Amino acid sequence: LKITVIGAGNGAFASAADLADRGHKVTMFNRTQSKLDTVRRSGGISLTFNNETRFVKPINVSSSPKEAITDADAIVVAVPTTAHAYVADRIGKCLSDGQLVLLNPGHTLGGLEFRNRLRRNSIKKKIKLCETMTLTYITRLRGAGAVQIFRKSKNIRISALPSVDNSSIFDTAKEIFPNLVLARNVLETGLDNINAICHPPGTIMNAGWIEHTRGNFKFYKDGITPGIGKITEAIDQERQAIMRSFAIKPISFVELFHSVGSTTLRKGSVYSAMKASEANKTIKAPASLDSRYILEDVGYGLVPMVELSKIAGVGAPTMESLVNLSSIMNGVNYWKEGRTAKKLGINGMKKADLLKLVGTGK
Amino acid sequence: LRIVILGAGAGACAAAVDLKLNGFDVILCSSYEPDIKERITPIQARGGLDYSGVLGEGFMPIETSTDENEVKAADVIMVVTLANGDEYYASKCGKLISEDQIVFLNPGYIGSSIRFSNIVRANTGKRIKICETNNLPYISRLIGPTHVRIFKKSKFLLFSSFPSKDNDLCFSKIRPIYPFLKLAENVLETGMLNPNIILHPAGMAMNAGWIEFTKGDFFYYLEGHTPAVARVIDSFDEERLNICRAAKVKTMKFVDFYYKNEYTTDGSKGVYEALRNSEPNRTIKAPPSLNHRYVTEDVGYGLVPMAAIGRIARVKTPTMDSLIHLISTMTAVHYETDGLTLEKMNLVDVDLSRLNAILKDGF
Repeated sequence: LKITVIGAGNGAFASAADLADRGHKVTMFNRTQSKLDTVRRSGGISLTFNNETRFVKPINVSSSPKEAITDADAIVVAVPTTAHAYVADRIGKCLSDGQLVLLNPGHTLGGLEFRNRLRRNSIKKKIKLCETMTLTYITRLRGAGAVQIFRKSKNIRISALPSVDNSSIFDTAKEIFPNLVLARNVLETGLDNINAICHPPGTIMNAGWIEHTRGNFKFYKDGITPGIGKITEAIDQERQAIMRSFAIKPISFVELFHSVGSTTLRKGSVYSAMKASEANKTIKAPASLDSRYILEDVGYGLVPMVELSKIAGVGAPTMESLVNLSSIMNGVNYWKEGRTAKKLGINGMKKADLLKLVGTGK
Repeated sequence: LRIVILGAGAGACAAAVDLKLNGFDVILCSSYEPDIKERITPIQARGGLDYSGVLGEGFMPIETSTDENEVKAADVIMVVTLANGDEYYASKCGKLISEDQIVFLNPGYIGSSIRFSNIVRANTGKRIKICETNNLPYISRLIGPTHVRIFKKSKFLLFSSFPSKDNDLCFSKIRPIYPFLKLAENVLETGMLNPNIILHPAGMAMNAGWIEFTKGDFFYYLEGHTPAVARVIDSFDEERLNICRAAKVKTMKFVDFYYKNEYTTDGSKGVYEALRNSEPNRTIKAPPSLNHRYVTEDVGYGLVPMAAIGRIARVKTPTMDSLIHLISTMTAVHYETDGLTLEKMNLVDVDLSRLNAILKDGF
């Protein structure tokens, strides 16, 4: 396929390198063009995977959205979720009927925000829009033009928006990322956002430790203690109640964490699942509280989840408490700056309206 | 003046030494089993307490007892326990206390006097005279079974009785003991300025992982109270000031109280600077677990009733509510219901004017 990857972070480099490696024709595009200079010069990316490093090429770099988007079969948007609105504004005009736009990941309801921006900008193209629940890779950049993929996650849920398109996108989506499984709708992918469940408690309840040591401790292995695990479990209960209210059968966070391959335990406490996470054991805490663990996972994770809880008519006091405290500690009002119902275009909606919107697009 | 000190922790021991140094007739008394074993017995064997710190160094002979009947002979019954100890002694000693004596909760939390008084009245029908401070006058730690170190003695504390019509009488008895006490309007004014309630919960919640993982092996204030943690305390204090404004309770900013007590050399900015510049708190370590009085007492008997007063005053308290919820969740204790609720203070469905009438004249 002809695929354009938007972004220049961990996820975009991993996606571009992996897709090119598997024979797709890949073009990269990013807001800050200099971040792709090395790829532009060398024509490819150095990819480390399974203890093996090789140079994957050719990978194109484009500096014009028109050129990058026009002939693509699919557009993979691999940017921080805070940038979804920007990407929609930037590429909206260049999209054409039938193109697949895959948000990897959508985080919580990136697709809805993306769709809402297109509508506000009067873009009426019939694209196929879909989003994953979390990034399809565990990956980190390794210097200029190099990326390491630690693991291709398993069972990553994806849904189209609206979900009537699920059957028509799934084959193409799997050609791009073979590790996908279909979710019921974007409410399921959005509420299965693993990062939003486990990052905020570990960051907020370790705020002093993170600030004092600049994140110099093992976030999962040491930082997720029994007490913090209980907070994660409380969020998980609230999340599952929201899902049930939307007629989605939830699986617990620990099952979810296990299903993507992050822990060997299938059930039990969050604390024990984290202890048993080989993949995450060396990962350090963020160096400051001004981190995506808060900006994205509170602002674009817990905030939209709380918005969903209100439409679902179930309480989410633990999520709300975490949004309150993180807003105060960072001096940023995430209730306003985050992904609100208004930004999603679902302000004041009833449950039936929202289910209809994610199901049929109307 | 015969003073019975009920309790045997660091605060009670510091008070016993301090009052004896000032020439009062003091007996240290606890009938609580763990206290007897760990504190009273060794002090009895030694015949008193070793002390060091700001009151000097030495040995002070202290009379001790494990028999609550001691309270009968006292002019002042000073209760120096954790907040939940108030309930224990209210139940145990109610029948022994006469209406001529003064019960002095040192310190009270929010509504401690109300609760103590209610328990005694329910059990015996007696309307006792009871009063409280807004904070323990000492920063102290037991550094051995019979050795108390006193890091700091207060310079300024609030005092009131419940009901406040007894203020003058109680104040005239207690002021000679602690000349730095300032008479407050009522026990809401004292309770709302309890510094532990303002200071401790946020640090516990936002250092929970660090405390659990290291068993509290870091400097609680110096290292654990970073700018972000301090911002949460600033926001907490803002909500407290809003409650006081709405309830027409006189108060002051936390940092001003801290400065007035010489706990810090900088009260002009926020909580972060005040704690950075706090000599007495510099070397204090974090608690070894989350199951500690910074939570059990300061959330259960402080934060929970403070937020409840906020509801009576119709003031929003998202910071307080979030801390209560997260701390309850992480410790699996439902402080919203297990703490000192309005129900336990007999204040359900009470509005502000009724509350003020109760504070002045009692039930």
